[in-house]
Amino acid sequence: MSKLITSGSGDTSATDEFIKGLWRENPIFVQVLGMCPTLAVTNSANNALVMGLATAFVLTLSNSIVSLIRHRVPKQVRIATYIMIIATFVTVVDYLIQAISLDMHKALGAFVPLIVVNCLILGRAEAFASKNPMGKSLLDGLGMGLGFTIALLCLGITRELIGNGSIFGWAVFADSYQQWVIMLLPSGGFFTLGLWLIVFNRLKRKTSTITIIKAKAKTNAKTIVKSNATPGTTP
Amino acid sequence: MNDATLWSIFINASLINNFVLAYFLGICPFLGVSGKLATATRMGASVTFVMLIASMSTYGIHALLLMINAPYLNLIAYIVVIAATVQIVEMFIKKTSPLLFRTLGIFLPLITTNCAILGLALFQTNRGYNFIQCIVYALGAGAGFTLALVLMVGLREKLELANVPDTFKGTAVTLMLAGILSLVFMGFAGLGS
Amino acid sequence: MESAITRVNWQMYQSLVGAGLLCAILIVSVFTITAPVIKRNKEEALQRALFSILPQVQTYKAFVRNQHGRFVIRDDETAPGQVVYVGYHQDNKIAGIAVPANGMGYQDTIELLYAYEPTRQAIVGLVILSNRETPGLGSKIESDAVFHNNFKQLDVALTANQSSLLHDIETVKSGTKTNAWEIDGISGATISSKAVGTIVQKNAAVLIPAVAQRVKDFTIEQTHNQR
Repeated sequence: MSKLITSGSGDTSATDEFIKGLWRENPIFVQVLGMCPTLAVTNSANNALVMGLATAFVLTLSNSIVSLIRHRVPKQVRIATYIMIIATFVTVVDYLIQAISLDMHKALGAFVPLIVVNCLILGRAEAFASKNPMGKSLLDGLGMGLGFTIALLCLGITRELIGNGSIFGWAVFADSYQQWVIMLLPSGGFFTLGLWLIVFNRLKRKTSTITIIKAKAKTNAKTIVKSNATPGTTP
Repeated sequence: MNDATLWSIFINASLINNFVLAYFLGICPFLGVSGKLATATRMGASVTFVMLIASMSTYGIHALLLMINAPYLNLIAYIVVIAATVQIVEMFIKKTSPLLFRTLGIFLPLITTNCAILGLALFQTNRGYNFIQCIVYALGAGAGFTLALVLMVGLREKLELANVPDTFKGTAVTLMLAGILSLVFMGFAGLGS
Repeated sequence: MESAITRVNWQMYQSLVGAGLLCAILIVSVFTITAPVIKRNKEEALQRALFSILPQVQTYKAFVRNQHGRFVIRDDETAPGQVVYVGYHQDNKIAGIAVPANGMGYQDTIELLYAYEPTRQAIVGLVILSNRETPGLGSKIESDAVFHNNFKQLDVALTANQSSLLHDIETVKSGTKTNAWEIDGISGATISSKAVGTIVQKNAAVLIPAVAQRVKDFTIEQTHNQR
């Protein structure tokens, strides 16, 4: 009986575990984690998508496994074990990409193995998966991974659109479009990420100002109701 | 076998394809570095040191794995070896030279998961460098990292006196600076070849 | 107290070794499953590349240059030494020889395949196998038709004693090509196109004389004798 109840409340917060990774705690824009090995491959939307999905794959699986074994691993060796598990899944995804598309593997190069030092994956394993049951950890990994992919896609699409006039290889602008090649160069990666962070900061400020105003209005309404409800008291 | 000359490897790793500004490796310490030149140089020195050790160890590990024909264990072996050697080096420095430990030591554990170290190992494997080339590559990469770090620290010192708008504050403006630095380093293209 | 510590130590060993074993099993399984698929992918990619530069060829054989300088049929994929792919006509005459070469480009290594026809003493084709140059700029070396025209009749004549190239292959500024052994660089992608020229020059300077001197290694009778 109690199991049903916990699973019930677990379900609503489970969706929350999934969604928080997409916006509220987006790995790249909010937590500013895991940029290291990935900025280099955001110069085309295709590469960004594959890289993001590969990271999401590793993150979901490693979160699940870490969560499964979290009670059996002694504290002192936990980081070493987590790293081994992450490295295993990264090797797996590396071979999977080679089997699916050799061209894609050539385009991404040595950056797929570098997923293993993506601070995001070890960070989630340590901060969340080692303290939560498997279901939640899996959803957390999935959500963070998808949020990460979305962020990478933002960068990749921007860079490819402005730098090459195309999205996923489909030409969007006419041939006479003068490409901003700088967007495809490493400096373009820095600029694009900086610009998106500014956009994100601005949005966050706006939503938090709105939240503050809403909260203030609520407390004001409450005080008005209180003073009305208790007659005879001078406000 | 890679037939690049030692000088071209060094110039390439430090300037033309700077690890931070061209490959985006090692960004975490790069963006988070505080405005102190001394810290930056020490960090750079530690990273160069670890890169040297890691480069040599991973060269050996790769040769070993080739002998037993298990290239798929590359990644796991590299990361374990890097972590282990950094740990051993840290203990060794602690015992033999407390002064050196105080200078470098605090950064050593952080560097283990630094993308730049693993990136170095993977690149040198992919390009098939021999032992001497690996050492020069590690020295070049470390020198380039230190250079980028020192430049960024100098810029951020100036930034603290400037009037940065609120939305831009923090990582955003640092990234813009990094972008400009990266552009500057592009001017080195073609050098040494 | 002692037993507690030893218990923890034992647990540490257990979990590390256990995790290590499971990881190794997973890696080896995935490797074994994907290895044939990857091998097939690589072979298909190689076939496509070979036929793009030597389209009239019927069959190919892979040779590797052993330490004595002789070209022998490659049985083992991990054998060290320069590999060449010799293409034969239907009458088993040599149609052309495709040579893989690589070197440093602007961003990272460039891998390419060039086709050499001994009878014409010229390089007759080039295809870029992999590159990580700047997309839209340096990556033009892969797609630019004008650049590839340079390699349709690139002179690699040898000196009289067949020990070296008569003229070194040179990459010149776009539009200034005057001699048959020069390559017109791509304007806007100077470094990448120069890199391609250097890679071909370095490889050809060693390989073309070697191939010319040992061309009888490639005849069908010779290969049958090697078996």
